Amino acid sequence: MTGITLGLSAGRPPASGPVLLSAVLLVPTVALLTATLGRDLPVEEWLAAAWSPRADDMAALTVHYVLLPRFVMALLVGAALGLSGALFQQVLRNPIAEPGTLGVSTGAYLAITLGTFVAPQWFADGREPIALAGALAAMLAVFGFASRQALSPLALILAGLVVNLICAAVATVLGLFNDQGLATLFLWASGSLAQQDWSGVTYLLPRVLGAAVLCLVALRPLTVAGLEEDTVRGLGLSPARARVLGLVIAVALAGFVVSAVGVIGFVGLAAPILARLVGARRFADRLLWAPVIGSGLLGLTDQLVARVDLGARELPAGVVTAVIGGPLLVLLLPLLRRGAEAVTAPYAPARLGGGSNGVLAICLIGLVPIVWIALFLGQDQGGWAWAGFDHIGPLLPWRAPRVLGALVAGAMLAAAGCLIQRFTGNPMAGPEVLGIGAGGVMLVIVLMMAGLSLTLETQTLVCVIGTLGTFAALLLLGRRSGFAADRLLLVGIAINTGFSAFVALFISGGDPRALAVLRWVSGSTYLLDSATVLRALTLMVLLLALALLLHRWLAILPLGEATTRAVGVDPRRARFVVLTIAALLTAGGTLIVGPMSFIGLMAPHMAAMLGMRGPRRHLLCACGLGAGLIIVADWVGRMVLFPNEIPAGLVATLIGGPYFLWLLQRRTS
Amino acid sequence: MKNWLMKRERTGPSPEVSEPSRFDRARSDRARSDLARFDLARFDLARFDLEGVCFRLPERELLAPLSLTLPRGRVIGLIGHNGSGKSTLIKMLARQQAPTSGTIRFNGAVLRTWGERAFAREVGYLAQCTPAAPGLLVKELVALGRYPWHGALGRFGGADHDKVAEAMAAAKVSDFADTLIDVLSGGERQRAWLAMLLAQDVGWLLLDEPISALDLAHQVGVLSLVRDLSVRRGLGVLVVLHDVNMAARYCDEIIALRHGRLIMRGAPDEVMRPECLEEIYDIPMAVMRHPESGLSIGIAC
Repeated sequence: MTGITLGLSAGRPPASGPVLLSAVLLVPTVALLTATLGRDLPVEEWLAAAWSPRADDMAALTVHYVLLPRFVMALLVGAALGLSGALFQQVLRNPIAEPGTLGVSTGAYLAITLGTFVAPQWFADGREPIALAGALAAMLAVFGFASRQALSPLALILAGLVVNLICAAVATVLGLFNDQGLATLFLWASGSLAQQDWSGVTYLLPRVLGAAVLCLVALRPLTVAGLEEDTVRGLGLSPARARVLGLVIAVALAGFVVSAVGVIGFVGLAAPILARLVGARRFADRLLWAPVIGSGLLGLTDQLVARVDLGARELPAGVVTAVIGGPLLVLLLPLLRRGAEAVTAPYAPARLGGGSNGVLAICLIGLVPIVWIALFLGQDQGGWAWAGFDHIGPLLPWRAPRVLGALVAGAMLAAAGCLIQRFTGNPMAGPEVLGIGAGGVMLVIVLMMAGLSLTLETQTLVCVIGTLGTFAALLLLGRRSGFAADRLLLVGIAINTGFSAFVALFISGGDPRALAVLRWVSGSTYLLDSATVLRALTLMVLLLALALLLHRWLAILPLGEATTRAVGVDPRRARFVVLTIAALLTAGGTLIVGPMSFIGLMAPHMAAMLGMRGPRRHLLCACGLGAGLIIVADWVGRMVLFPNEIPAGLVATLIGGPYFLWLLQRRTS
Repeated sequence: MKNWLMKRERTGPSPEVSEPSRFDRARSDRARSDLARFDLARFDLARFDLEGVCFRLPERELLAPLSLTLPRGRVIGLIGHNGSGKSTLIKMLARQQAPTSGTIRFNGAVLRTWGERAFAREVGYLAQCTPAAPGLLVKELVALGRYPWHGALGRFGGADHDKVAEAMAAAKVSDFADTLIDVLSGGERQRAWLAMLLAQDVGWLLLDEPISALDLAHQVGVLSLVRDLSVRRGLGVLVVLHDVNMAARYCDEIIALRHGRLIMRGAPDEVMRPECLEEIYDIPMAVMRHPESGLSIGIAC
């Protein structure tokens, strides 16, 4: 049943492993803290400063109200996340489950955001109930969608990823309409450990202790809950109650952490895995060592981050854990052993019929009325208005670039998704899910943060380079596993998490370009001009023509390297060409509608469901559908809250995300 | 013949042998000599020459340095125990793997100097495990075999259509032409892949256990087809077989590998001796004569 298991059976590491690792993490943490303390305050005054600082001693007050609470908070949060991750991994028997990958943290974050903007009166009783409700709702959603796949590890992680993206999209929409609150909003998303007093600690400490005690009481049932279903049945036990208990504790811990400091990713993932790696073999061992190692990880990260000088502001710990955690997850990938259950489904329907020329023609010609309506139907101060031919003149320069840009972007992303799915033979692949576009945007944001001012041209170039680089990295990592679905997706998750962290960091920093970047990331067509659109259109036509010309490669490549070589195609060259085309298409589409529109995943699937089998028909049909979808998303985004606008990329995420979840839920295992 | 087969099956584990073929063998030998007179020079050229070819992994040697020549126009069986290096050898000949040392020449030129498509027009390779082919019809798969001839952009012309139809007929998959590959049975699927190989219209077939998924009737069908092609068109065939009796019956020559070393090469009759078979398979073997065909049959004792 478990598709992914940790392959650590060989050789039992010595029992001192966890102790050693904890020491390696905690000793430098404490050393760094004492170094900081020693800078401002003589040693003999430390104790006094910690317990009762003199009100006129500034250094002692800083130690008492800022440095020490922060240090304790980092340890506490790390422990809470480590415990939460250990529980999730145990109860779900899934080595990459944690509050972040399951969408629980983001759910709590979205709930707090919604509360802040929509109903501030909810906070009368504090943030906690709202955060817990959000965490629980996200987890129930993820479970609901993965339940048809018997909660298989990959299905859970995928559902978590999509719930994450949908929550992020909703939060971004909120942020766009409240640009004064923007920085605060994203500060939550990036998880800052900064403290001004001991209230955070007094809030979190009893809750974490309570959870730990509950875990100890329920140790035996929880241990049993980690066994295979059949074994448990054979022992005459029903693990359901223990699982529910474990999940409730884990979700609650995640909710507490978010309401205390915001979203901090990857500690919950890394701590239990590291504990296991260094020899915490039994669940009881991990229950002890995962929180300790989590404390050490976050404590050390925080102490190191505090020494990084970013001018006026500091680097939030959540961003750092996400950035370190991404590569860590990728490094841990080889430890994830593939089980017997293959997490793939054919990207083409296993049925004949459908896919006639008529259907293809409808998909392509259907674009004409959609474009027509998008151009002519709109709202003005007098309500809905259909602009006749007489009145369209002045409107065209405004509407035409946006509609055409949406069309081009949709077609490009759909084509890219089609190529990637065919190439990897992986139906869940897509430029958005694999984080390919996100990589490009990330590079742009990093350069902006480094203080470069980018013109539109250089920004485009940087985005393309970043996209190609991400793609190349993905290929190198995926090659060894034969582009197995789960590996690629995990890398994609890592890239997407790092991306969200960077965006959050940039926007929370109060950069004057924040709103513009947020608009771009969320895929607004607002700033498009006709010259840009025409360039993109040319690129699209060229790349599509090339892809259509190479349709035979697209038919051969899914058959694997041996067959490809045997019929006289050099697999390396063919892959390189196809993937370069896909990466360029992704970059082009991403530049217009942002990196998270889901069109690249959705459109090829819909085309396949309509019965398109051959590469050319599949590609063309997907392009038609993708273009149509984005035009509709753009139009809806412009109209639904007129005169305000929701960017097309976000609308597409809000349509595409649920669709993906539905697809996941429909696929029975 | 059927009774005989059933009797054999009842008596427990035994190699599968059927249908007397002494007459077939004689007929094909005559055909072969006719053909040889016409095109001997070309046969001599289109051969594999191996010189000290060796394949090593960091931890062990899969194939010890091997030098031999494989002439075209014959069916050559490659046998040996599991892990003896059969698949490694055939993969190197098919350019799926490069040897760690030594050179392989085909038609006089070093293997890696051949262009991808030029080589695919000469040599066809069927892997041990056929990959999944989602959403592909049988006829579409077989048509992919024409790629070396028309390339990425060339026209798929009338001649290509004829070759595809011919290949499907020869591999007896014409009835499934419009069926999805993934819904076929294992045997049908293997024949569909063989049809693709035939459509490739090559001079050499490198087959890695082409009959592993087939029932007895289809095993005989496929090997007869391969043998027939070799005889009529002068194809060179190197085929990895697990069943030594099938190898003895359908091959002109048998090459035996053991722990990565060539230990025997010769006509079926030379290999089908108890002491030889025991050396190859590490298990005592008895050899008996088929009561009707007179062919040798090896049985594990």
